[in-house]
Amino acid sequence: MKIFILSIIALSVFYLGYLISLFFLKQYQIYNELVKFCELLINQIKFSKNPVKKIVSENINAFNSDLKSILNDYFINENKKVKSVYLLNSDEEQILNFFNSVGKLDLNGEICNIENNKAVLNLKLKEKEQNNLKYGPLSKKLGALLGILLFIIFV
Amino acid sequence: MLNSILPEPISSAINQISSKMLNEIRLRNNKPIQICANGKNFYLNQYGITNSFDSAIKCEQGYINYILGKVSNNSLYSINDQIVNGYISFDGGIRIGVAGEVVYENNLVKTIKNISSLDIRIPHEVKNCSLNCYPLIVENNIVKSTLVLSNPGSGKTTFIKDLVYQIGKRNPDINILVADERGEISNVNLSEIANVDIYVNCTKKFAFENGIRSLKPNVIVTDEINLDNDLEVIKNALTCGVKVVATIHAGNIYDLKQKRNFIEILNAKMFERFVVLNSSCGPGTLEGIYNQNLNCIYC
Repeated sequence: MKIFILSIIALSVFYLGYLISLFFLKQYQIYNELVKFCELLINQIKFSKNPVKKIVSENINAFNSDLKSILNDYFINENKKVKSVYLLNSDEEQILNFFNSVGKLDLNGEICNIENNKAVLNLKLKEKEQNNLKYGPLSKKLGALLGILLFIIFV
Repeated sequence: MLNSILPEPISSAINQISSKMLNEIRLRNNKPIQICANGKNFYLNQYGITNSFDSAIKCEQGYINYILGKVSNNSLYSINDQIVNGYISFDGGIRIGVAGEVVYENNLVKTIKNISSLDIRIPHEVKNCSLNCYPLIVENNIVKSTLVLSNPGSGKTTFIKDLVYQIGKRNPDINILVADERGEISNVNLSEIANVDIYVNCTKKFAFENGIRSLKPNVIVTDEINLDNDLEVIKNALTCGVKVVATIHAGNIYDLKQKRNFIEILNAKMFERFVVLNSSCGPGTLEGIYNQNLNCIYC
């Protein structure tokens, strides 16, 4: 019985480590998808001048589920907010500011605005990539080690 | 449809007014909102129409931005082509005039930014409003080239919308082409009419030239011609044997005569009928019908 409980605890700690690594991975993935979203917007606006809502609704399935729900919430449902369990408050604010700025200018201004935001998002993407490479595997390893340690100490 | 683009409290206030009466809603930043109902100007308060300046709802820039966001689907760039012409077309034939800071690039209007005024013009379908003129415009199943003139807001567009319907309904052999530059003429219910082709959101030059070439119209109906820019395409259509029914901004025959290039129209007898409308008894009041020599044949 004791071993069973300790195994559960060890696995839980390992799972916690995995969740933390997933947190960093998801952040990186969301920003990666956001940069692709910017490229899609630029192309579609330049060549077809379609409204943003139409661009998003026609292409939303091309994005991963995390960005899909953010885009759906903001552009399709027009909730005008950005919420994700994987994003920090500062990330949410940055993305919200970007989304709020879309669709307010003429064609050239709009392209420039999206290009500028894409550059800023690219910088953030690099930061998230670094975090993911640094802390992702580390969290998993620490989780596993801690789990095993707890098991050994209390067994 | 109007409620979908208006913010609160304007939407609630407008709902207090009968839609049949409503002609225009004027929003100017930091000024009381004005309404034109049955051809007369009022202010808008929370209960609807008022003559009181003080109790009127004051327009905020946020209201204007909200409306612009709604009509453009939050994508102002997608309607910039209309904005540079000073208006935005919306569903149902609603036309929104815009005023703000004009931005030029290479001597061309690039956009209008910091939009501070909107004039929302609400179209009305008035069935049979052109019937009293119909016998003088269509004789022996032939449409006479007609120019409908009045001041802005006096019912020219409503008139020609009904005229399209009447010609189409009564003369199935006449092919009608509607050159609808701003999407205002073609929002009338034409489901019973089988002989109408429509170009929407294009220039008159495109509609006239391509329409004559490919759609073989007997008559082309268009709105708000400009004698400086549109005279050549109209002349070309008439010399191809196509009749033209159009509207023009002019208060009366005297104002029309003052327009540049009108002498050419008169001398060439390009238009066989001139229909003059005014707002004396509400928009669409018929003042008179004149022939190609500007003699009154119905006053």
